[in-house]
Amino acid sequence: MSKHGRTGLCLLVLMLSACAPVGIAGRELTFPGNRSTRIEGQIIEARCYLTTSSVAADHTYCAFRSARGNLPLGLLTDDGHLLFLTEAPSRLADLVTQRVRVRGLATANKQLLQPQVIEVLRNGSWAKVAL
Amino acid sequence: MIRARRIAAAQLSLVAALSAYLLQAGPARANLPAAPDLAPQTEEGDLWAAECVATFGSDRRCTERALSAGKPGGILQAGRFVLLLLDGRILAQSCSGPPPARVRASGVLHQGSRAMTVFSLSALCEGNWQVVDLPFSGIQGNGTESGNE
Repeated sequence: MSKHGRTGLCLLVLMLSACAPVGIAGRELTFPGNRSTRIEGQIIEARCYLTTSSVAADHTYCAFRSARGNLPLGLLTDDGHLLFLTEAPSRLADLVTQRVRVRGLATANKQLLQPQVIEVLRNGSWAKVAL
Repeated sequence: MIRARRIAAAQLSLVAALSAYLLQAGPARANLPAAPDLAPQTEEGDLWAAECVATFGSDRRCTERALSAGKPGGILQAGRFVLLLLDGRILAQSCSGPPPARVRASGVLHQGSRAMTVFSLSALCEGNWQVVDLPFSGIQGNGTESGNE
């Protein structure tokens, strides 16, 4: 192989090795800095909340049925921010409209929350929920 | 004489500009929907389970597993993730091919395109766009209530 050929091959290898991490990181760059966090708020059924702002009271039964039907749930914080829970909604149906404390992995843009531990406030004390 | 010509030319260009604006603005105004915030919009991209986005699930089967378990999914496109407000099991059936499936959803976007109430859904399966049946997308999910209790 000529000197130019070897140089070209080296350049190609360098380019490919430089591009590979970018390709993998490209996915991570979408949501950089996902981190473990603990957030307190109220579990809501996302679609009704987003279309009607319904949270509890008359909406509780509807939210429960919707969660059983696997419509996505969210955690509404006291400052009005909504994070979507990535867990299967039907598994959390009993918690709709309840006040909870969630420890888990949140995307940096605070759009998604992957729950690891959920505690629900019942009779003034926090009770751990089995996931 | 020259001044009068300049004034006439200026008036003519003004009229031309105004006519062009009116011709352009008229139909545009007429086409505005009554409720712009409810105008359906379309999102297209790769189907991902929300869980796999949150945990960087690089496993090809991550999305398939999560959606089949009823976990929420959405469209990942150009650094944005739009959560689809549907039963994940409906999304799991969107395409028989290997994930990530290419999907196109039409509906109402919420919270700066962070979530979408879906009116219609199509998936790119073997090069063809196929409409995904949304059995019942009413307030109470698909009505089956067959979760993973």
